[in-house]
Amino acid sequence: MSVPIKGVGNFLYRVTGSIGRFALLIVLAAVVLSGLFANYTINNLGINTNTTDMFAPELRWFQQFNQFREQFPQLESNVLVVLEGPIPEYVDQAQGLLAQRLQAYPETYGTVLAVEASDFFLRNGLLFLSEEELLDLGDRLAGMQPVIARLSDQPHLAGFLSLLVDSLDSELELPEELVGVLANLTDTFNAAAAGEPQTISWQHLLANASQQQTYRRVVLVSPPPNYDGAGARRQVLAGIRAEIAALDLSDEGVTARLTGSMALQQEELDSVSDGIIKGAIITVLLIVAILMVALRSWRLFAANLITLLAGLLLTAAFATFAIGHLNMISVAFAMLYIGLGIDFSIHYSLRYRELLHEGYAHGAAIQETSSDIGTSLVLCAITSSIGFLAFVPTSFSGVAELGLISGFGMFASLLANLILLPALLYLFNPPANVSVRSAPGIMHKISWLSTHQVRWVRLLALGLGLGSIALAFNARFDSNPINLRDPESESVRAYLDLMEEPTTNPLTLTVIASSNETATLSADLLALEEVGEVRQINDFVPAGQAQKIAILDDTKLMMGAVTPIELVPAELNRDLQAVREIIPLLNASDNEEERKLGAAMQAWLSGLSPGDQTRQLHVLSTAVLDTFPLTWNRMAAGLQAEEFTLEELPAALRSTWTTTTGDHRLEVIPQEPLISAQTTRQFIEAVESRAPNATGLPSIQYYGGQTVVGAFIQALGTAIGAVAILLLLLLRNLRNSLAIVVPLLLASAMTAAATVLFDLPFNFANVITLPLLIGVGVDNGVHMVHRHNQIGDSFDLVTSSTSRAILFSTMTTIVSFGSLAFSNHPGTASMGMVLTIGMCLSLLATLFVVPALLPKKVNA
Amino acid sequence: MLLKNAVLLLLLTALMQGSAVVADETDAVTTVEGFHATLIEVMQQADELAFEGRYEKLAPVIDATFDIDMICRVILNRDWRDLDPGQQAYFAEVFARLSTATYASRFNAYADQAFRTLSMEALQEGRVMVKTEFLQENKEPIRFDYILHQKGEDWLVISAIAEGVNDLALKRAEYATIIKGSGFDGLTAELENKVRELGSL
Repeated sequence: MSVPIKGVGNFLYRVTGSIGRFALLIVLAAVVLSGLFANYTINNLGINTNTTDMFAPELRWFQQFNQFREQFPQLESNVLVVLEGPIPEYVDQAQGLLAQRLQAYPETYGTVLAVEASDFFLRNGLLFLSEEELLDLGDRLAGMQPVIARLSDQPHLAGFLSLLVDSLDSELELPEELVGVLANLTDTFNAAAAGEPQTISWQHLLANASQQQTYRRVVLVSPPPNYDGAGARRQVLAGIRAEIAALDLSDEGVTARLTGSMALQQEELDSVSDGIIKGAIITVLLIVAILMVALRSWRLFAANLITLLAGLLLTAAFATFAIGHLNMISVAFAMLYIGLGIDFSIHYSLRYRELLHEGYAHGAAIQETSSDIGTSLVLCAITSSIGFLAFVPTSFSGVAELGLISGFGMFASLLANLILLPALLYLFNPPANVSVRSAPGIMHKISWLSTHQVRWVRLLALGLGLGSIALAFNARFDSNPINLRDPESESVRAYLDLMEEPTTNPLTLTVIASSNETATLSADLLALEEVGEVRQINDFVPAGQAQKIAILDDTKLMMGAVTPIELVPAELNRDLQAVREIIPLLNASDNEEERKLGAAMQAWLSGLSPGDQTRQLHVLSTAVLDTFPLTWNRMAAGLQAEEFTLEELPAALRSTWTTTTGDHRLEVIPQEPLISAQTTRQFIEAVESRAPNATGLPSIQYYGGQTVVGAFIQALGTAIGAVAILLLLLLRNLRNSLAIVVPLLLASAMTAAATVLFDLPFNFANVITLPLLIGVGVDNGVHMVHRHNQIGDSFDLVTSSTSRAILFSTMTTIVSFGSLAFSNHPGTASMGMVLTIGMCLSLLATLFVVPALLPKKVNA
Repeated sequence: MLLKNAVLLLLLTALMQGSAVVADETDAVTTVEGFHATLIEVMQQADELAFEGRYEKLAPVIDATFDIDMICRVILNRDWRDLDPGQQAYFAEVFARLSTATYASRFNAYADQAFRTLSMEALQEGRVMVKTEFLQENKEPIRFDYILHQKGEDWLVISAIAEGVNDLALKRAEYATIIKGSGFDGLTAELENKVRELGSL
């Protein structure tokens, strides 16, 4: 090689000789050090799974978001328990009970908010209806009054049926509302007779709503801030699940799903690590197989693996020391390290074996390899390291940290490969008689193409390059983290369901305003067509309370004594008897609905089995009456509403809508769910035009995405530029430098173009493969150019051990990480796909284009 | 049938005269018992008074016992708000006549019936509930409860409840249906009709 690194080979040659003398000592020292590094790392390296912590603190939108997080921690880091079921009463009841249970452990669950189940809303909730709705409610309650009165007095099935008997006796004319209940009663008896009890929702009957739709309630749990680590998070989630299980909601048809940032992160982490454990076993086996094919010696293989591990541990210890934690992006340092570190070893090992084959003695071969390959490795380490360090100054700290760790990792790898690997080879003394396979036929064909069809290869490369660049302009970055997650997972499905309802949509923007601007600002925001709704604390103080209370008062009067109802257990000789007695009256009725009910009751009666009657009666009476007290008692409590002011709202509720300094939080809900990047951008821009301090998840995702894209463009540009300059300085040869940089650019452009062609947008997960692709591209180029200078013939270059080393090391990387493409976690899968595509393109560029750019013959 | 009659009676009761009451809640009981006494009296003299006589005797008592305006407001609910003061007054007047006529036509014979006061309890908003029963020979007693409030010096009945069934609720449901079908004028026409029918019985 050229001037500046000319001495490196000689230096390495001498050093390697010394390594040979102290081989055992070096290996032992490496083992001990690796153990220490491992121990240090395990005890001190944390993982921060919060993807919103990965940005530079001086970014405007990030500062706004951080301020929001400080003011309203419960809205940023939380668990949402989504309760759903067909019977509203049971869902409401579950919400209340769960909130109560969780509120018993504030040190674990922090603030637990179940707005509709709070005492305050149970009492004053009706004031949130309009006067018109309250008048309607009064009408319907009037219709139910006889039932309420009868059940207050006789709280059982027989009491309920006695009301029907009175109407059949024409002692009482049933209000229209109750006539409709007959059909429901008929259905319930028929369902019970069929053995599939169907509970009547009196709330639905009262609201005149169909019983088909799913009813939903949410409990918001925001644990104290010290509960944000993965272990504590797991504990909180498991605790909530245990409380839900203890409620035994299945009989009541209520399901509970957990979502919210904590559940999403935990499930994501679980699904990622789940995939990793499964994939790792397969990957390891495949790597072993490939390395064995490449190295054809267990001893050589073992030396490679130990070297890889030692370098990896050194890098991890560095990450622990320099940063202290990994983020969701910098965990990929391991991938980068393995991908590039194994390359170093393969190049070294194959060259070593080639030299043995050429007749070198064991020690001489090692020295010669270090001197020869070592020079390339030094160059590779410097250039890749510069490439990675180019990420450090970006404002995306996620990738900046990765850059720092990997930049160091390249030198760790260099040290391991030039000190430990030779020492291991001295000790293991791999057999010299390993046959060296001649290059496979395909390599000869490639070689012929890239050296005899130079013009065509160059033209094709130029065409592909230009085409790719044109396409690459359409490359997209998908900044919605929900798209990285398994769409089938519980937390993601629940999250998407919540998004569809304006009242529960978690993707909203927050605007902080002083209390006297709140009204004008929310009117301003509401006027925007992108905005569907603006919510704020004043909405919790309904207007016209006095008039509404007057309406409730009339209703109360009409209901007589407003007292709670408590059902008594079913009794055979009272309730069953009542059913038997009413059937003839129903059968004799001239009303068709009543005759149908008689028939249904008869069917149910004849289906009773003597030994099981008590249970069957219990099931039936539960289906008919169980929800009645739940509805009525809630209503009875609601009729007692009293006027209240802003100051009298419950503290937990107030604290989600006001800051400690008395400013108000406005929640701006989009007109349409923010599914596409386009809608998100328009919504954010519109809201910011009125309220520049708006922040929230959509803003974080949008600006975060922009920052990531900016960071990558800046870093990749700097990296490629820095590598080019460095190569020029070190190689002092324009053509050689171009032969490395041009294929690198080509592979990069083609990879970007491929993401457009395959509709595989860049995202927070797969962008982290780009530094690896750059690193591998540079290294491959360096090895090729170095070998070319050495053998002086571009035809032989492609069939040399170097090309084979490149082929094998690329395959190893693809196998190691390409298998991620089959992960259930879409983010991980997209990472595997981009990596595989990129590596293949990089390999093609190296094998075809590098030789085509180098002179056919070099005068050595 | 008896229950239905009782309910009607109570409704009508809403329209009749009452007794003067002072600030004490026990005066609510006096109101109810005074009304009951008049009913028993009317029953005892049923034949000599005839319908017209019973009507004349009950009218001032019902008027003084029940807060008719409030009862009409609750029964007509939202429709009450749409009426002008003239219509409201007219409705209250027809409703009072109907109630009186109903009582006069139903309480038309005496067979040793009696009212008995069971208890009195305070409700919210300064209201009280007086619970009573109507005793009859060879039959189960019928429960009659009243909710009263104070208007000026007087305790007036604002809600009558027979066997738990609140007449306000029944009437509200019934009248809402009529108004929906034939409007306010249809409702008053129908009530006038009923008054005439009761008088001609």
